[in-house]
Amino acid sequence: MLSLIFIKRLPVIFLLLGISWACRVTLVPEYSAQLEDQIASAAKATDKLYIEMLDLTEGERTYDKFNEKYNEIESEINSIKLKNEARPKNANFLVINKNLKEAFEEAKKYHKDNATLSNGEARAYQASLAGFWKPLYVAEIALKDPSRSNK
Amino acid sequence: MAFDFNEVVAQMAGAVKASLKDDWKVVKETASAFLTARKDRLELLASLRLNNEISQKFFLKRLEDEKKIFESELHAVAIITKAAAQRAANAALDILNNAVSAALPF
Repeated sequence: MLSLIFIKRLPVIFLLLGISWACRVTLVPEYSAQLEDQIASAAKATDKLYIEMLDLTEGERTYDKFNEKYNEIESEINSIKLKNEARPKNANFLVINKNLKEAFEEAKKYHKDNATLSNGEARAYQASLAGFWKPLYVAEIALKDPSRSNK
Repeated sequence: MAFDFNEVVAQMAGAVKASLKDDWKVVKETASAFLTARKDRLELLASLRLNNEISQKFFLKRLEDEKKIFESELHAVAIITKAAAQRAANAALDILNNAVSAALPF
């Protein structure tokens, strides 16, 4: 008898569960641990690119020597951008991504056009590009729900 | 179980307050970290220019970068704020949902 009453009320229970699920507020994309790792490692690779440049003399710091590393980082930036484009509620992320991409492309082109970079130029690019990476990383971290483990 | 609407609203307000308290701290700390990093970068760029290690044209280009970095930082703060608002709203909705579910006769 009790189970019959329960079965009769199942549609109401499902309706309430549905309403409760639909009533979640969504303003930002869902956190992605994989994206966080990718941003962290690409930001690290950008920093390392300039650290390695600064280890060399200006004459040795040719674009050809670093071409492959530039391309690897650029493809990582494109990959992060693509993943952000696929997420809902992504408007803020897309602006951060766009600024980073343009800044990196400009730095790469400057090195290519000038064949080498001075110590000052390499240090300035290292600092500026770190400034472009940080908001992207900080924003992804902010999506983590502190009440959940988010592994 | 009886449904006390005033009690539920009070609990919802408490959940929003608790949720926003921690997140507001994160917003302030992030904004402060962005400002400190900007100060360090500008100091570096100024010293590189004053020591003639970079050209005026290159220096001005990096200052243009600073505008774009600032724009990115504002968008990051917007994401942090939206995430905080989302958590607070959902915490309040969870309390309402739990209270209604508990008051239902089945």
